Amino acid sequence: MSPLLIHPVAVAAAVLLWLGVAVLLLSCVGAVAARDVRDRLHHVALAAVVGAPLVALSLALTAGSWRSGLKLLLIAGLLIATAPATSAATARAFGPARDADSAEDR
Amino acid sequence: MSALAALLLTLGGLAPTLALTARGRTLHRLVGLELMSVVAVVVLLLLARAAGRSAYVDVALLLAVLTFAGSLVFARFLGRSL
Repeated sequence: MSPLLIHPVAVAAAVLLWLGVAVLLLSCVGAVAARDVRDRLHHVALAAVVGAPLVALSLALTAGSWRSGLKLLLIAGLLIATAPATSAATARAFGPARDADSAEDR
Repeated sequence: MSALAALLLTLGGLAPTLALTARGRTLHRLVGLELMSVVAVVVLLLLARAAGRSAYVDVALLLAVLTFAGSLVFARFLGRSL
């Protein structure tokens, strides 16, 4: 068995980390660039469902103990589970989709 | 080391969300606040790794839970009053 210079898990963790950070930064910029509140909500959901869990998964892969890794996975799962409810509640507070005139004031 | 670099980059991501939260109409601000708290959770996770303090992970977990409740309350309140 030939010794590997870089451990595969470390490579996977680095890829996941930078992917997650890239998704987070892109969604931050995209949320500012978007004009409609629903378009902005898409970027929030993207950050919560893809960006943050990727970073948490990367940190969990390189965590020292299984307990700390499990806690990071719990945070990732929590973000994934709660993001749809948050997005839906915020979109609902904005009013029905076709009622664009009254919604413009909010 | 890479955690520190990622932390600095993610901190940079907080600036657009702050701009989104600080101005504009109320619901747009709420969206900015939700995005900011997601980024803040990641910042705390990376800070825990970069500073070697695992207690910050608990803060991130608590923030993730409270953000969910807070966003629902805000959305409910704003949807009713405006």
